[in-house]
This record gives sequence, C-alpha cells and structure tokens, in this order.
Amino acid sequence: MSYQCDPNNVLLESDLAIDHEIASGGEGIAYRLKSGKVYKKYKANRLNNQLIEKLTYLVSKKLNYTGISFPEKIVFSEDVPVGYVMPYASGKPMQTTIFIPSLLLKHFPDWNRINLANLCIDILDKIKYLHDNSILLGDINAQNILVHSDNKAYFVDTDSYQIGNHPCPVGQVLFVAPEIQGKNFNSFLRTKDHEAFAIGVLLFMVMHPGKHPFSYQGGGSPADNIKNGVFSYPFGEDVNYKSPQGPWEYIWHELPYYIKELFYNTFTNLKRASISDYHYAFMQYKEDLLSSKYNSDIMIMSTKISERKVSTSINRGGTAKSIGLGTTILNHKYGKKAVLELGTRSVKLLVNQVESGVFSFDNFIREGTVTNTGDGLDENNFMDETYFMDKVLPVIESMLRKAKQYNVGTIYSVATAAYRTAKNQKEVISWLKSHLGINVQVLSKVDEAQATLEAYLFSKDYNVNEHNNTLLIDQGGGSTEISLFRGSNMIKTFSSNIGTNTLKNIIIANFNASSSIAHVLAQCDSFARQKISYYAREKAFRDGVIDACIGVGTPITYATGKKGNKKQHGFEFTRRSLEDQIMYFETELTSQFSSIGHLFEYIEENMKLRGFATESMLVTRLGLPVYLAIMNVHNISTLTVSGTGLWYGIYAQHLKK
Amino acid sequence: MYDDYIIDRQKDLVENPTARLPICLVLDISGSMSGDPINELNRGVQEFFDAVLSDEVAKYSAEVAIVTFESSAAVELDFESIEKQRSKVRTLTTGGLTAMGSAVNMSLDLLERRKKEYQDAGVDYYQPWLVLMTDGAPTDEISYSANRCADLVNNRKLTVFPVGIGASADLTCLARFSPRTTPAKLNGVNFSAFFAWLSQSVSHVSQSTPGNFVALPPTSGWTSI
Repeated sequence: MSYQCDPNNVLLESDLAIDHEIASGGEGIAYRLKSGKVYKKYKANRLNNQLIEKLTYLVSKKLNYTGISFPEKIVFSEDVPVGYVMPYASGKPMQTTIFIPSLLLKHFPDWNRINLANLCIDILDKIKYLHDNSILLGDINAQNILVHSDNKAYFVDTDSYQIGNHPCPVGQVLFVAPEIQGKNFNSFLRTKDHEAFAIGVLLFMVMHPGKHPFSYQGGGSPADNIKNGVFSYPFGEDVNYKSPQGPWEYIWHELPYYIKELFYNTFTNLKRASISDYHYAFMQYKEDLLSSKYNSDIMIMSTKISERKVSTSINRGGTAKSIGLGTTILNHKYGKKAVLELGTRSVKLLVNQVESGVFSFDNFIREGTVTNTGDGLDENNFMDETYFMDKVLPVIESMLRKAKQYNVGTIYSVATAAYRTAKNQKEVISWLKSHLGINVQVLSKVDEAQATLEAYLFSKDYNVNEHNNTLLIDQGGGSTEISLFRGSNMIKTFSSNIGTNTLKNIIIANFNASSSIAHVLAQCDSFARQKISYYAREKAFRDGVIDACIGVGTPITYATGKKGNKKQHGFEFTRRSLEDQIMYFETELTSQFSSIGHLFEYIEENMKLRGFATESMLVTRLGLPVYLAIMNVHNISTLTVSGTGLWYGIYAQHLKK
Repeated sequence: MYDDYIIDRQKDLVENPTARLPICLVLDISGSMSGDPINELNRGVQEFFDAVLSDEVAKYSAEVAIVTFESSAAVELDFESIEKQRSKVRTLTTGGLTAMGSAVNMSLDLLERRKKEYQDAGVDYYQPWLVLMTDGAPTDEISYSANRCADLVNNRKLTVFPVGIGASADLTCLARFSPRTTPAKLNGVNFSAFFAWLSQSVSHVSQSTPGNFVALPPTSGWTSI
C-alpha cells in the first residue's frame, strides 16, 4: 500500500538523529531528537489507516500554535509510515502538577489563584485556536495537558484529536458528558457541547485542585455520578448539603458569582458554558483577584456559618386556597378584637382599642417579637418540633396573655409562608390548637396579597381610581410577593422565593464563616437579581403604566429610619434614596464586622439586645435590592411605604364592623 | 491522642482529591510459613510499600490494609494514608493454624467500611483489591466468606488476586474465593517479584479513571507454571 503524502511533509526514519528516549507507553515510544523536536514512533500494530489519514491531514493543514504539539512531518521507514515529528513539549502532566494539592504546592510553591486563573486562560486560548480550526480535542484529560508554568501549558497527544470526519477514538470517564458515557468513541463524532462539558470539568478541577465536580457525599462511581447528574455545590437556593467533605466547598464558596454560575449551569445541564463565557469570566476573576476582591489562597479552610441544614425555599408549596378558619373566642364577655399574625420572621399582635369609622394608627395597639419561625424548617421543609416548642410557641403564648390583658374577646389568627410551606403543617396547626387553644388560618399567597392591599387601602382611606394600576411589593420572611391591582381588584400576583429569612439561610448555605461581608452581599444581590429577572419576564405585569408602588415588609419600613408604623406610613423612597440606604447599611455592617461568620455570631449571641438591631440592618441590606430591582423593571420613580402590613388587612376583612 | 488520630485520618481522607484504590493484603502467617517464606514475605511487603511510595500518583491513590491469619485472624494494619503507614509496617512472625475463612471475612468488613467512609466523605474510589496468599489449606469454615467474596467479584465490586505458596497450597480452595481469576502459584518464595508486579499494577490503575478498563502487566515474572 502506498500513501499520498506531500514529500515536503515527510521524513525518513534513517535521517532522524535521535538523542534519547523520553517516554514509552502502550501506543509507542517518544524520542527527543538532536534538533530539539520529538519523534513519536508507534508500536507496530498501532498505526492503522484511519490514523495515518488523520495524521496526513493534520500535517497538511500546517497548524502552528505555541504549546500545541501538532504533527509536523510524518516519518517513514522504507515506504511505510511509522510515526511523526512534533515540537517539544515541556512540563509535567496536570494530573501530577495541579490535580494533587501536595504536588501542586511542591511544583509551584509560590502560586495563588491568580496563577490558576492564568492557567485556565492559557488553556482556553489553546482550545479556542483548535475550535477556530474546526478541531475538537475530544479526549480532554489531565494526562495530555502538560503544565510548564501558569502561562505555558502544552497540549500533547494531538493525534487523538477529532478533525474532519476523523473521530477521537478515546475518552476518560471523568471528562465525558453524561449523554455519551459508555459509548464507543470511535463510532461517532463528538459535538462542541460534549467538549463544553469536558472543558467545564477541567476548569472546575483546576479551581478545586483535583476534585471532580460530580463527587458527592453518598455518591457512587464517577461514571454513575456523572450520569445521575447530582451537582452538589450550593448555588443560591439550590442547596442539597451533599458536597464532599474537606476544603472543596470552602473553595467553592469563595468563587465569584460569575464563575459559579457558569459551572452551575454547565453541570446542572441548564446551559453548558462556552469558551468565550469562561474566557471572559476568568479574565474578570484575575482582575478581581489582583484588586483583592476575592480570596486568592488556593486551598481555603474555614468553618461553616452554622452547622444547621437550613431551608432555602421557605415559600414552596401551599394550596391555592387558605386553609382553616382563624377565629377564636378568648372571652365572651369582652368585645375587643385582635389579629394574631404568625409570620416567618415574627409573631405580631394587633389589638383594636377604639372602633371608629375613620382609620387611625392610634386606635390600635401593636406588639411584635422576632421568632425567626422559618429557621425551624429543616432542609426538607419539615418544622422542627423542638425548635417550634422552644422558640415560637412561648412567644405566641405570651402574645395571647397580652391579648387577654387588653380585654380582647375575639382574636383572628393567620399564618404565612413558614406555615404554608411546612410539610407537617397539619401537625403544627394541631400543636397550636392543643397547647394554646387557638384556631389558625394558613393563608394562601393570593389571600395574603389581597389582605395586604386591603390594609393599605384601609389605612389610606383613599378613593380607589378604578383604572389606576397599583403595584404592591411585600417582602416577608419567606418570600417577596408582588401584586398588581387595578383599582382594588387583583390582576395578577407573583411570588418570588426571596424573603428576609430565605436570604439569611442562603447565606448560611452558600458561604464560609470567614467570607467577607462585601463578597457575601454582592453575591446575594446577584441571586436576588436573578430571581427578579424571572419576574421581569412575566407579561401580565408589563401591561400599562404603574401609577403607584407600595412597599411593605421589614426591610422597607426599617429603611425609613422611623420608629413605629405610624411614622413609617407614607414615607417615600426614590430609587436613588434606596441605593443610598443600601450603601448605608452595607457600610454599617462592613465597618463593624470582619466576616460574615463574625456578624452571624454576634446576632446569635445578642439577639435580645443590640443583636436585634444588627439583624434588622442585615435583613434590610439584603432585602432592599429586591425592591430596587422591581422598581427598575418598571422604571418606577417613587415607592410609598405602607406601615400597615398584613395584620391590618386581616382586621379589615374579618373583624371590622 | 486517639481523637487526634481520628481527626488526622479524616483530614487525609478528605483533603486528597485523588480517587482511592483500597487494597487488602490477606496473608497466611501460620506455622508452616516460618523460615524462608516469612522472611521473604516480610521483605516483599516492605518493598511493596517503598515501590508505591516512590510513585508520585500511586502514593496518593493506594491505601493498604493487612490482615494476617494463623489460628485466628487479626488486623495488622488498618487503612490510612500510605505515607503515614510506612513506619507502622511491622515484621510478621509465624505460628498456629490457618484461619483463612475468618481472615477473608474480616478483610471484606474492612473494605466495606472503608468504602462507606469514601462514600460518606464524597471521595471517589476504584473497586477494591484483595490479595489472598496461603501456603496451605484453611483450618476453619470458608463457605460463607468464599461465597461473599465470589458474589462481590461476580458483581464487579472486588478484584481478588489468589496466590498459592509452595507445594501444599490448596489452589482448589483458593479458587472458591475467586470466580474470575484462576489462582496463581508463586515461583518459589519470590515474594519480591510478586509485590513488584502488584505495585506496577497499582501504578497502572492509579493513572486510570475509576470505571475505565485497565490491563495489568503480565504475571509471568512471579508465577510458576
């Protein structure tokens, strides 16, 4: 058999001046030539026609890129091809330089994350060159990329690349996309999407030196883990508490949002990130590391903010209709009426002192205690009985005692997100009945929004223009409810899973105790913006101009700087003044606390005293960007604070004469 | 002190990202092994540790436990990072009968526990290896342990390397533990050659990906025909 080869691309083995043997393996032997180049000689049966064709094609393309060892000349012995000559590649395989932390430290003792970012960028540049020339690596792995320095990686084994119709016949399980796991790689051509998975794995394993993205607690073999698709590292509210033990999750927690997002989307199969996505992100990361925005240590050790596995989806589930009836007669002899609001964050009591046709804050007595009831939900959204009995029930009991002292005859009790979400909701309601003798209505999201608007209308006592569009933003502990009203008729309601307690729990699940407060807040804002972007896509909210925007909830009332519902009521924020407040609270927190763990610890230990104010500052700082993002969606210039929350609406609906 | 050991062991486990290959050496130290055989076995084991430690990849991947058996079985060395183990490898001495059944059982328990530790921590691993060496025939009941072992091998959850030493080694009995690999006979007391082969095999596997097929080097260097 003869081979069609450009004579200029051919060398005779007898003309080669071999200096020494570099390595030998299953495929053949590599020799260093006196010229400095490398000669790869295949074992007798390894060089089949398919491979010869591929090599001939590769050589004819005259590809030249520093750091990619393309075949330059085909070597013949007599008239039979036996191997090829390629440029020399220096360095050691990634497997033994980067993917074993103690060897990484040994080979590159001065490296930090800037070097890792450089290495990623260098590798991405080379892959881009290949893709631009319609070549896929196919078998991306840690053996065929050598690392000389952070800006000099060498790609070897280029004879396995997928080029034209020549498939890449091999693949390492760790880098193989789930949909082609276990397939015969010689039988099909890989796609860029397959390659994108492999690139994602490689970059993840550089960022978390040697740790595969699909290793997780309770996992099986790497192939099974990839096929099962369990990505265990937390991203916002997506938390499964299965990430591997050791430094890996601590490292993940310190990565910027824009890198986590690419990995998350790639490994949860939402969208595999492209080379340019990664390139852009790692350039940004490098810049941010240089300006000390992120921790540049390669191996990061920390502790957790809390050992508890908290719920990051307090607003899940619930029925379309409210459940149960809320009326309880405390004392037949008395005529006074009260509302008991069992929220995700607090327990509140509203007692009507004076019945009057005209609304006045002075007609009511208000009591409230922060219980963080939502914190009693475990990661599966079961309300923990011990937590509820210790932290919540005694507060409700004391509220009922107060109601009796105020001579309340009838009390109407409602419960919101934490109760709506609790998988053992019936049981929780039965605890309230059996221990305290009260009936509690668990509000549906729609009824909650309706009552909240009613509260505003009740207090404002204004004439509703039938055609006016009012947007109501209510951030509670478990969620942010956004409702659009035309006149007093609800047109549409949207529930976003970001409440003040949810945001705090997202922090617990997504960061290290040692994480900087600025890093945590910036990332929480990104999570919140991401959530609001789903809202922005809702068409029903985009019809017509918003005539009025009303804000309810702890963050917006606390941000007024005023004490008491009466003074908070009617306060107006512009987007600019909201931004100022966000900045103000951030500065307050970062100037007082060195890390997020420090802040949480302080709140935990001082909840009864100053810790409460600090906690309010934190939830306000976390919550305000949500209001701002919604204002931005509609280009709303002014938001009016309503001091009358849900409880007033419940009063107006059920108790007002 | 013990707590420190536990913390250290856990730290080694979780901080090393390399996929692990747990290997249990199940070694006959009954009375008949005394003299040359035990001396050569001791030398071979030491050489094995040195060989694995000299391999940059294998030393982060291989984890070794040793179970010995005479009249009863005992854990001679428990799983740990191989660097920490090196100084703990003691010289084995002989005496007693051949409690092979309980030794294999004990080994399978050790391997199972180690696998559970990997899973709980989220550490990748290769299916374990069990090296079973004897110069005689079991003096205890082996049905249970042989079946247990064979089931694991048939389900590809375990690789068994059965090795007979000397003329009296009961290869038929060894075969009951190993439905896929025929027991091999060691060439004289050339334990060195066997352990050199074993360390090369470890090296091959540790450079591969768990789940990928790996061809092991030929056994011709240590087997007798």
